[in-house]
Amino acid sequence: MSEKICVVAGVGPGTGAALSRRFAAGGYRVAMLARDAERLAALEREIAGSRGYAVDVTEAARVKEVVERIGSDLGTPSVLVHNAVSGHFGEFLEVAPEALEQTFRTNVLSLMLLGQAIVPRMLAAGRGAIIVTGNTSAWRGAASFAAFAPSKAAQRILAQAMARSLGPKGIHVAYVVIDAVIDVPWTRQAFASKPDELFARPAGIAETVYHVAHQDRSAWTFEVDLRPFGEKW
Amino acid sequence: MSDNTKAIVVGVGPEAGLGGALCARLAREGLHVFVAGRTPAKVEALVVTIRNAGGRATGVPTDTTIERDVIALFDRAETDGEGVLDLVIYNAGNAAMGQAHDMEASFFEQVWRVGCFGGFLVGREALRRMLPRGRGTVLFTGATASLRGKPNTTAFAAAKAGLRSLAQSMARAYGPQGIHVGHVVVDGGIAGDKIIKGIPQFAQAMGEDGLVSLSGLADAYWYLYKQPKAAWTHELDLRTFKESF
Repeated sequence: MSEKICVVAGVGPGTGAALSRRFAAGGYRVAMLARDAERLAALEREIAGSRGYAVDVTEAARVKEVVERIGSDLGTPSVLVHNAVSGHFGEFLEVAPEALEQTFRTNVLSLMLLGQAIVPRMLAAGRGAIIVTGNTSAWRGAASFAAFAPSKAAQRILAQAMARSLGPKGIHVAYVVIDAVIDVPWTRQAFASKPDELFARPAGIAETVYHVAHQDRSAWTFEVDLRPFGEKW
Repeated sequence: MSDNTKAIVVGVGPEAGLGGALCARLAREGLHVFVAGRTPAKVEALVVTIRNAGGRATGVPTDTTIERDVIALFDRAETDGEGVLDLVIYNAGNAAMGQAHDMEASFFEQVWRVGCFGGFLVGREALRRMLPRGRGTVLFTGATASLRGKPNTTAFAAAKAGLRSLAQSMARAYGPQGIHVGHVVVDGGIAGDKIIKGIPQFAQAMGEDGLVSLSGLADAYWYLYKQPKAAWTHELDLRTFKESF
Protein backbone atom coordinates (compact mmCIF):
# COMPACT_ATOMS: atom_id res chain seq x y z
CA MET A 1 0.00 0.00 0.00
CA SER A 2 1.72 3.15 -1.17
CA GLU A 3 -1.14 5.64 -1.25
CA LYS A 4 -1.84 7.90 1.71
CA ILE A 5 -5.48 7.89 2.78
CA CYS A 6 -7.23 10.53 4.87
CA VAL A 7 -10.82 10.37 6.12
CA VAL A 8 -12.54 13.72 6.69
CA ALA A 9 -15.79 13.28 8.59
CA GLY A 10 -18.09 16.27 8.33
CA VAL A 11 -17.52 17.97 5.00
CA GLY A 12 -19.40 21.23 4.66
CA PRO A 13 -18.54 24.12 2.36
CA GLY A 14 -16.08 25.63 4.89
CA THR A 15 -13.58 23.77 7.06
CA GLY A 16 -14.40 20.27 5.79
CA ALA A 17 -13.91 21.25 2.15
CA ALA A 18 -10.70 23.14 3.00
CA LEU A 19 -9.38 20.12 4.92
CA SER A 20 -10.13 17.84 1.97
CA ARG A 21 -8.33 20.20 -0.39
CA ARG A 22 -5.31 20.50 1.92
CA PHE A 23 -4.82 16.78 2.38
CA ALA A 24 -5.34 16.17 -1.35
CA ALA A 25 -2.66 18.80 -2.03
CA GLY A 26 -0.40 16.83 0.33
CA GLY A 27 -0.78 13.73 -1.84
CA TYR A 28 -3.61 12.02 0.04
CA ARG A 29 -6.62 10.31 -1.39
CA VAL A 30 -9.39 11.82 0.71
CA ALA A 31 -12.54 9.98 1.78
CA MET A 32 -15.14 12.68 2.47
CA LEU A 33 -17.99 11.83 4.81
CA ALA A 34 -21.17 13.91 4.97
CA ARG A 35 -24.91 13.46 4.71
CA ASP A 36 -25.31 15.68 1.65
CA ALA A 37 -24.55 13.51 -1.41
CA GLU A 38 -24.86 16.40 -3.84
CA ARG A 39 -22.25 18.51 -2.07
CA LEU A 40 -19.92 15.52 -1.96
CA ALA A 41 -20.39 14.90 -5.67
CA ALA A 42 -19.42 18.50 -6.44
CA LEU A 43 -16.28 18.22 -4.27
CA GLU A 44 -15.38 14.87 -5.85
CA ARG A 45 -15.32 16.61 -9.22
CA GLU A 46 -13.18 19.41 -7.83
CA ILE A 47 -10.65 17.46 -5.74
CA ALA A 48 -8.58 14.93 -7.63
CA GLY A 49 -8.47 11.48 -6.07
CA SER A 50 -11.17 12.25 -3.52
CA ARG A 51 -14.25 10.15 -2.95
CA GLY A 52 -17.47 11.09 -1.23
CA TYR A 53 -19.41 8.82 1.09
CA ALA A 54 -22.92 9.96 1.96
CA VAL A 55 -23.46 8.71 5.50
CA ASP A 56 -24.89 9.68 8.86
CA VAL A 57 -21.91 9.24 11.17
CA THR A 58 -24.11 8.89 14.26
CA GLU A 59 -25.38 5.49 13.11
CA ALA A 60 -23.11 2.71 14.31
CA ALA A 61 -23.95 0.21 11.58
CA ARG A 62 -23.50 2.78 8.80
CA VAL A 63 -20.14 3.90 10.20
CA LYS A 64 -18.82 0.33 10.28
CA GLU A 65 -20.02 -0.24 6.76
CA VAL A 66 -18.52 2.94 5.36
CA VAL A 67 -15.14 2.31 7.00
CA GLU A 68 -15.14 -1.16 5.37
CA ARG A 69 -15.91 0.41 2.03
CA ILE A 70 -13.17 3.02 2.37
CA GLY A 71 -10.79 0.18 3.22
CA SER A 72 -11.58 -1.71 0.04
CA ASP A 73 -11.98 1.36 -2.22
CA LEU A 74 -8.92 3.32 -1.14
CA GLY A 75 -6.93 1.45 1.52
CA THR A 76 -6.10 1.91 5.19
CA PRO A 77 -6.48 5.50 6.41
CA SER A 78 -3.49 6.97 8.20
CA VAL A 79 -5.41 10.14 9.12
CA LEU A 80 -8.91 10.73 10.43
CA VAL A 81 -10.09 14.31 10.80
CA HIS A 82 -13.27 14.50 12.84
CA ASN A 83 -15.00 17.68 11.76
CA ALA A 84 -18.64 16.59 12.02
CA VAL A 85 -20.59 19.02 14.13
CA SER A 86 -24.15 19.59 15.16
CA GLY A 87 -24.75 23.08 16.53
CA HIS A 88 -27.56 24.44 18.62
CA PHE A 89 -28.27 27.94 19.82
CA GLY A 90 -30.36 28.76 22.91
CA GLU A 91 -30.30 29.49 26.63
CA PHE A 92 -30.91 26.87 29.28
CA LEU A 93 -34.64 27.44 29.82
CA GLU A 94 -35.36 27.64 26.09
CA VAL A 95 -33.59 24.59 24.68
CA ALA A 96 -35.26 21.26 24.12
CA PRO A 97 -33.52 18.32 25.80
CA GLU A 98 -33.61 16.57 22.41
CA ALA A 99 -31.20 19.22 21.12
CA LEU A 100 -28.62 18.17 23.71
CA GLU A 101 -29.10 14.57 22.67
CA GLN A 102 -28.56 15.49 19.05
CA THR A 103 -25.37 17.48 19.66
CA PHE A 104 -23.97 14.63 21.77
CA ARG A 105 -24.72 12.10 19.05
CA THR A 106 -22.98 14.09 16.32
CA ASN A 107 -20.16 15.66 18.28
CA VAL A 108 -19.25 12.91 20.73
CA LEU A 109 -20.78 9.57 19.80
CA SER A 110 -19.68 9.76 16.17
CA LEU A 111 -16.07 10.32 17.26
CA MET A 112 -16.24 7.13 19.28
CA LEU A 113 -17.89 5.21 16.44
CA LEU A 114 -15.44 6.38 13.79
CA GLY A 115 -12.49 5.96 16.13
CA GLN A 116 -13.45 2.42 17.12
CA ALA A 117 -13.97 1.47 13.48
CA ILE A 118 -10.74 2.99 12.14
CA VAL A 119 -8.21 2.65 14.98
CA PRO A 120 -7.84 -1.15 14.73
CA ARG A 121 -6.79 -0.65 11.09
CA MET A 122 -4.33 2.07 12.08
CA LEU A 123 -2.90 -0.15 14.83
CA ALA A 124 -2.41 -2.95 12.35
CA ALA A 125 -0.57 -0.51 10.10
CA GLY A 126 1.45 0.72 13.09
CA ARG A 127 0.61 4.39 12.70
CA GLY A 128 -2.14 6.95 12.47
CA ALA A 129 -3.36 10.39 13.43
CA ILE A 130 -6.79 11.48 14.59
CA ILE A 131 -7.38 15.21 14.64
CA VAL A 132 -10.62 16.53 16.10
CA THR A 133 -11.85 20.05 15.38
CA GLY A 134 -13.46 21.85 18.29
CA ASN A 135 -14.23 25.39 19.25
CA THR A 136 -14.48 27.80 22.15
CA SER A 137 -17.38 25.79 23.59
CA ALA A 138 -14.95 23.03 24.48
CA TRP A 139 -13.61 25.36 27.20
CA ARG A 140 -16.56 27.49 28.17
CA GLY A 141 -20.32 27.21 28.48
CA ALA A 142 -21.68 30.51 27.23
CA ALA A 143 -25.31 31.28 28.15
CA SER A 144 -26.64 30.75 24.65
CA PHE A 145 -24.95 27.41 24.09
CA ALA A 146 -26.66 25.34 26.81
CA ALA A 147 -27.36 22.45 24.43
CA PHE A 148 -24.11 22.73 22.48
CA ALA A 149 -21.15 23.57 24.73
CA PRO A 150 -21.55 20.44 26.90
CA SER A 151 -21.12 18.28 23.79
CA LYS A 152 -17.93 20.06 22.71
CA ALA A 153 -16.46 19.82 26.22
CA ALA A 154 -17.26 16.11 26.24
CA GLN A 155 -15.75 15.71 22.78
CA ARG A 156 -12.51 17.30 23.99
CA ILE A 157 -12.34 15.01 27.00
CA LEU A 158 -13.05 11.95 24.86
CA ALA A 159 -10.22 13.00 22.56
CA GLN A 160 -7.95 13.38 25.60
CA ALA A 161 -8.81 9.87 26.80
CA MET A 162 -8.10 8.58 23.30
CA ALA A 163 -4.78 10.44 23.17
CA ARG A 164 -3.62 8.94 26.46
CA SER A 165 -4.72 5.47 25.45
CA LEU A 166 -3.52 5.45 21.85
CA GLY A 167 -0.42 7.68 22.00
CA PRO A 168 1.91 5.03 23.42
CA LYS A 169 0.60 2.69 20.70
CA GLY A 170 1.74 5.12 18.00
CA ILE A 171 -1.58 6.81 17.19
CA HIS A 172 -1.49 10.59 17.55
CA VAL A 173 -4.74 12.15 18.78
CA ALA A 174 -5.04 15.95 18.89
CA TYR A 175 -7.76 18.50 19.53
CA VAL A 176 -7.92 21.81 17.67
CA VAL A 177 -9.82 24.58 19.44
CA ILE A 178 -11.02 27.11 16.88
CA ASP A 179 -11.67 30.18 19.01
CA ALA A 180 -13.32 32.26 16.30
CA VAL A 181 -16.06 32.66 13.76
CA ILE A 182 -15.11 30.69 10.65
CA ASP A 183 -15.18 32.52 7.33
CA VAL A 184 -18.01 30.92 5.36
CA PRO A 185 -20.87 32.60 3.45
CA TRP A 186 -23.51 32.15 6.16
CA THR A 187 -21.33 33.56 8.96
CA ARG A 188 -20.43 36.54 6.75
CA GLN A 189 -24.17 37.18 6.45
CA ALA A 190 -24.98 36.53 10.09
CA PHE A 191 -22.10 38.73 11.32
CA ALA A 192 -22.15 41.26 8.51
CA SER A 193 -20.87 44.06 10.74
CA LYS A 194 -17.80 42.15 11.95
CA PRO A 195 -14.53 43.32 10.43
CA ASP A 196 -12.55 41.01 8.18
CA GLU A 197 -9.84 40.27 10.73
CA LEU A 198 -12.34 38.54 13.03
CA PHE A 199 -12.95 35.65 10.64
CA ALA A 200 -10.76 32.55 10.74
CA ARG A 201 -10.07 31.29 7.22
CA PRO A 202 -10.83 27.61 6.56
CA ALA A 203 -7.59 27.30 4.59
CA GLY A 204 -5.61 28.59 7.59
CA ILE A 205 -7.35 26.10 9.88
CA ALA A 206 -6.68 23.28 7.42
CA GLU A 207 -3.01 24.25 7.30
CA THR A 208 -2.62 23.74 11.04
CA VAL A 209 -4.61 20.48 11.07
CA TYR A 210 -2.29 19.21 8.33
CA HIS A 211 0.78 20.31 10.28
CA VAL A 212 -0.35 18.64 13.51
CA ALA A 213 -1.22 15.42 11.65
CA HIS A 214 2.39 15.24 10.47
CA GLN A 215 4.30 16.08 13.65
CA ASP A 216 7.18 13.79 14.49
CA ARG A 217 6.22 11.41 17.29
CA SER A 218 9.08 12.73 19.42
CA ALA A 219 7.13 16.00 19.79
CA TRP A 220 3.38 15.63 19.56
CA THR A 221 0.80 18.27 20.39
CA PHE A 222 -2.48 17.35 22.02
CA GLU A 223 -4.26 20.68 22.09
CA VAL A 224 -3.87 23.60 19.74
CA ASP A 225 -5.88 26.83 19.76
CA LEU A 226 -6.55 28.89 16.66
CA ARG A 227 -7.91 32.38 16.22
CA PRO A 228 -7.56 35.18 13.70
CA PHE A 229 -5.15 37.87 14.85
CA GLY A 230 -7.92 40.42 15.42
CA GLU A 231 -9.95 38.23 17.78
CA LYS A 232 -10.65 39.56 21.29
CA TRP A 233 -10.35 36.64 23.70
CA MET B 1 11.76 37.33 2.88
CA SER B 2 13.78 35.19 5.32
CA ASP B 3 16.88 36.63 3.72
CA ASN B 4 16.07 40.00 5.14
CA THR B 5 14.79 38.85 8.50
CA LYS B 6 16.43 38.88 11.91
CA ALA B 7 15.63 36.81 14.96
CA ILE B 8 16.72 36.96 18.59
CA VAL B 9 16.90 33.82 20.69
CA VAL B 10 17.34 34.47 24.40
CA GLY B 11 18.39 31.60 26.62
CA VAL B 12 21.00 29.71 24.64
CA GLY B 13 23.26 27.22 26.38
CA PRO B 14 24.88 24.17 24.77
CA GLU B 15 24.61 23.60 21.03
CA ALA B 16 22.62 20.45 21.78
CA GLY B 17 19.95 22.25 23.75
CA LEU B 18 16.64 23.86 22.83
CA GLY B 19 18.11 27.37 22.45
CA GLY B 20 20.95 26.04 20.31
CA ALA B 21 18.63 23.94 18.15
CA LEU B 22 16.32 26.92 17.60
CA CYS B 23 19.22 29.16 16.54
CA ALA B 24 20.55 26.54 14.14
CA ARG B 25 17.11 25.97 12.63
CA LEU B 26 16.38 29.68 12.13
CA ALA B 27 19.78 30.21 10.55
CA ARG B 28 19.16 27.27 8.22
CA GLU B 29 15.87 28.90 7.20
CA GLY B 30 17.85 31.97 6.19
CA LEU B 31 17.29 34.28 9.17
CA HIS B 32 20.11 36.29 10.74
CA VAL B 33 20.12 34.99 14.30
CA PHE B 34 21.21 36.95 17.36
CA VAL B 35 22.33 34.38 19.87
CA ALA B 36 21.82 35.57 23.46
CA GLY B 37 23.09 33.45 26.31
CA ARG B 38 24.76 34.05 29.64
CA THR B 39 27.99 32.17 28.90
CA PRO B 40 30.15 33.88 26.23
CA ALA B 41 32.05 30.68 25.36
CA LYS B 42 28.85 28.75 24.61
CA VAL B 43 27.42 31.64 22.59
CA GLU B 44 30.62 31.92 20.58
CA ALA B 45 30.82 28.18 19.92
CA LEU B 46 27.30 28.17 18.49
CA VAL B 47 27.93 31.23 16.34
CA VAL B 48 30.98 29.52 14.84
CA THR B 49 29.01 26.36 14.11
CA ILE B 50 26.23 28.31 12.40
CA ARG B 51 28.64 30.36 10.32
CA ASN B 52 30.56 27.25 9.28
CA ALA B 53 27.27 25.82 8.05
CA GLY B 54 26.77 28.94 5.90
CA GLY B 55 24.30 30.69 8.20
CA ARG B 56 24.32 34.18 9.66
CA ALA B 57 24.66 34.57 13.41
CA THR B 58 25.82 37.20 15.86
CA GLY B 59 26.63 36.36 19.45
CA VAL B 60 25.50 38.76 22.16
CA PRO B 61 26.28 37.49 25.66
CA THR B 62 23.37 38.71 27.75
CA ASP B 63 22.11 38.46 31.31
CA THR B 64 18.41 38.52 30.64
CA THR B 65 17.58 39.63 34.19
CA ILE B 66 19.41 42.93 33.71
CA GLU B 67 17.36 45.60 31.97
CA ARG B 68 20.24 47.42 30.30
CA ASP B 69 21.66 44.15 28.96
CA VAL B 70 18.34 43.33 27.32
CA ILE B 71 17.98 46.80 25.83
CA ALA B 72 21.54 46.62 24.51
CA LEU B 73 20.79 43.24 22.93
CA PHE B 74 17.83 44.66 21.02
CA ASP B 75 19.72 47.79 19.99
CA ARG B 76 22.46 45.60 18.63
CA ALA B 77 20.01 43.41 16.71
CA GLU B 78 18.29 46.46 15.23
CA THR B 79 21.47 48.11 13.98
CA ASP B 80 23.74 45.19 13.12
CA GLY B 81 23.38 44.28 9.45
CA GLU B 82 20.49 44.54 7.02
CA GLY B 83 16.96 43.46 7.73
CA VAL B 84 14.14 43.69 10.20
CA LEU B 85 13.69 41.96 13.56
CA ASP B 86 10.65 39.74 13.04
CA LEU B 87 11.01 36.90 15.56
CA VAL B 88 12.00 36.84 19.22
CA ILE B 89 12.13 33.67 21.30
CA TYR B 90 12.41 33.68 25.09
CA ASN B 91 13.87 30.38 26.12
CA ALA B 92 15.70 31.28 29.34
CA GLY B 93 14.90 29.47 32.56
CA ASN B 94 16.24 26.64 34.62
CA ALA B 95 14.37 23.83 36.28
CA ALA B 96 15.79 24.61 39.72
CA MET B 97 14.21 22.25 42.24
CA GLY B 98 13.46 22.66 45.90
CA GLN B 99 10.69 22.81 48.47
CA ALA B 100 9.43 25.92 50.20
CA HIS B 101 10.32 25.21 53.84
CA ASP B 102 14.08 25.16 53.31
CA MET B 103 14.39 27.50 50.34
CA GLU B 104 16.46 30.67 50.49
CA ALA B 105 14.44 33.73 49.54
CA SER B 106 17.22 34.77 47.18
CA PHE B 107 16.95 31.40 45.39
CA PHE B 108 13.25 31.85 44.80
CA GLU B 109 13.77 35.37 43.57
CA GLN B 110 16.57 34.39 41.19
CA VAL B 111 14.52 31.57 39.64
CA TRP B 112 11.70 34.06 39.09
CA ARG B 113 14.08 36.65 37.64
CA VAL B 114 15.31 34.26 34.96
CA GLY B 115 12.04 32.42 34.40
CA CYS B 116 9.59 35.30 34.39
CA PHE B 117 11.03 38.80 34.83
CA GLY B 118 13.51 38.33 31.99
CA GLY B 119 10.56 37.33 29.79
CA PHE B 120 8.90 40.63 30.59
CA LEU B 121 12.03 42.61 29.70
CA VAL B 122 12.52 40.73 26.43
CA GLY B 123 8.82 40.84 25.55
CA ARG B 124 8.66 44.57 26.21
CA GLU B 125 11.70 45.39 24.10
CA ALA B 126 10.35 43.19 21.29
CA LEU B 127 6.99 44.97 21.37
CA ARG B 128 8.54 48.41 21.39
CA ARG B 129 10.26 47.58 18.14
CA MET B 130 7.59 45.45 16.46
CA LEU B 131 4.46 47.49 17.25
CA PRO B 132 5.36 50.45 15.03
CA ARG B 133 5.77 47.99 12.14
CA GLY B 134 2.53 46.17 12.95
CA ARG B 135 4.11 42.74 12.64
CA GLY B 136 6.35 40.29 14.44
CA THR B 137 6.31 37.07 16.44
CA VAL B 138 7.27 36.54 20.09
CA LEU B 139 7.46 32.97 21.39
CA PHE B 140 7.97 31.85 24.98
CA THR B 141 9.18 28.44 26.13
CA GLY B 142 6.97 26.92 28.80
CA ALA B 143 7.09 23.63 30.65
CA THR B 144 4.85 21.17 32.45
CA ALA B 145 5.43 23.43 35.46
CA SER B 146 3.68 26.28 33.62
CA LEU B 147 0.42 24.45 34.34
CA ARG B 148 0.94 22.86 37.75
CA GLY B 149 3.12 23.06 40.81
CA LYS B 150 4.65 19.91 42.25
CA PRO B 151 6.38 19.68 45.65
CA ASN B 152 9.84 20.22 44.16
CA THR B 153 8.93 22.87 41.59
CA THR B 154 8.04 25.54 44.15
CA ALA B 155 10.11 28.31 42.60
CA PHE B 156 10.23 26.99 39.04
CA ALA B 157 6.45 26.48 38.67
CA ALA B 158 5.72 29.91 40.14
CA ALA B 159 8.07 31.51 37.61
CA LYS B 160 6.76 29.45 34.71
CA ALA B 161 3.10 30.09 35.53
CA GLY B 162 3.94 33.78 35.71
CA LEU B 163 5.63 33.65 32.32
CA ARG B 164 2.60 31.87 30.83
CA SER B 165 0.22 34.54 32.12
CA LEU B 166 2.52 37.24 30.83
CA ALA B 167 2.48 35.63 27.38
CA GLN B 168 -1.32 35.36 27.45
CA SER B 169 -1.76 39.00 28.42
CA MET B 170 0.59 40.05 25.65
CA ALA B 171 -1.21 37.88 23.11
CA ARG B 172 -4.59 39.37 23.99
CA ALA B 173 -3.27 42.92 23.99
CA TYR B 174 -1.13 42.90 20.87
CA GLY B 175 -2.60 40.20 18.61
CA PRO B 176 -5.09 42.70 17.16
CA GLN B 177 -2.11 44.96 16.43
CA GLY B 178 -0.46 42.28 14.34
CA ILE B 179 1.95 40.75 16.88
CA HIS B 180 1.72 36.97 17.22
CA VAL B 181 2.54 35.90 20.78
CA GLY B 182 2.85 32.17 21.39
CA HIS B 183 3.57 29.96 24.40
CA VAL B 184 4.99 26.46 23.92
CA VAL B 185 4.42 23.98 26.73
CA VAL B 186 7.19 21.39 26.62
CA ASP B 187 5.64 18.54 28.59
CA GLY B 188 8.66 16.41 29.39
CA GLY B 189 12.43 16.29 29.46
CA ILE B 190 14.27 17.56 26.39
CA ALA B 191 16.75 15.37 24.53
CA GLY B 192 19.66 17.81 24.92
CA ASP B 193 22.98 17.89 26.74
CA LYS B 194 21.45 19.23 29.93
CA ILE B 195 19.71 15.91 30.51
CA ILE B 196 21.66 13.45 28.34
CA LYS B 197 25.06 14.55 29.69
CA GLY B 198 23.96 16.22 32.93
CA ILE B 199 21.75 13.49 34.35
CA PRO B 200 22.49 10.43 32.18
CA GLN B 201 20.83 8.04 34.60
CA PHE B 202 17.55 9.92 34.12
CA ALA B 203 17.95 9.93 30.33
CA GLN B 204 18.57 6.21 30.45
CA ALA B 205 15.53 5.59 32.62
CA MET B 206 13.36 7.47 30.10
CA GLY B 207 14.43 4.98 27.44
CA GLU B 208 14.38 5.32 23.68
CA ASP B 209 12.08 8.14 22.51
CA GLY B 210 11.44 9.07 26.14
CA LEU B 211 12.68 12.66 25.76
CA VAL B 212 11.24 15.37 23.52
CA SER B 213 13.48 15.73 20.47
CA LEU B 214 15.22 18.98 19.58
CA SER B 215 14.22 18.70 15.92
CA GLY B 216 10.56 18.13 16.80
CA LEU B 217 10.62 21.21 19.04
CA ALA B 218 12.34 23.32 16.40
CA ASP B 219 9.70 22.20 13.85
CA ALA B 220 6.93 23.39 16.17
CA TYR B 221 8.46 26.81 16.84
CA TRP B 222 9.10 27.30 13.15
CA TYR B 223 5.51 26.31 12.35
CA LEU B 224 4.14 28.82 14.87
CA TYR B 225 6.29 31.52 13.30
CA LYS B 226 4.99 30.69 9.80
CA GLN B 227 1.31 30.35 10.74
CA PRO B 228 -1.08 32.42 8.60
CA LYS B 229 -2.46 35.49 10.35
CA ALA B 230 -6.06 34.36 9.85
CA ALA B 231 -5.54 31.38 12.17
CA TRP B 232 -2.96 31.86 14.90
CA THR B 233 -2.20 29.54 17.80
CA HIS B 234 -1.41 31.02 21.19
CA GLU B 235 -0.50 27.89 23.13
CA LEU B 236 0.92 24.62 21.89
CA ASP B 237 1.73 21.58 24.01
CA LEU B 238 4.42 19.11 22.96
CA ARG B 239 5.34 15.69 24.34
CA THR B 240 6.73 12.41 23.07
CA PHE B 241 4.24 9.78 21.96
CA LYS B 242 5.08 7.57 24.91
CA GLU B 243 4.72 10.26 27.56
CA SER B 244 1.98 9.45 30.06
CA PHE B 245 0.17 12.68 30.80
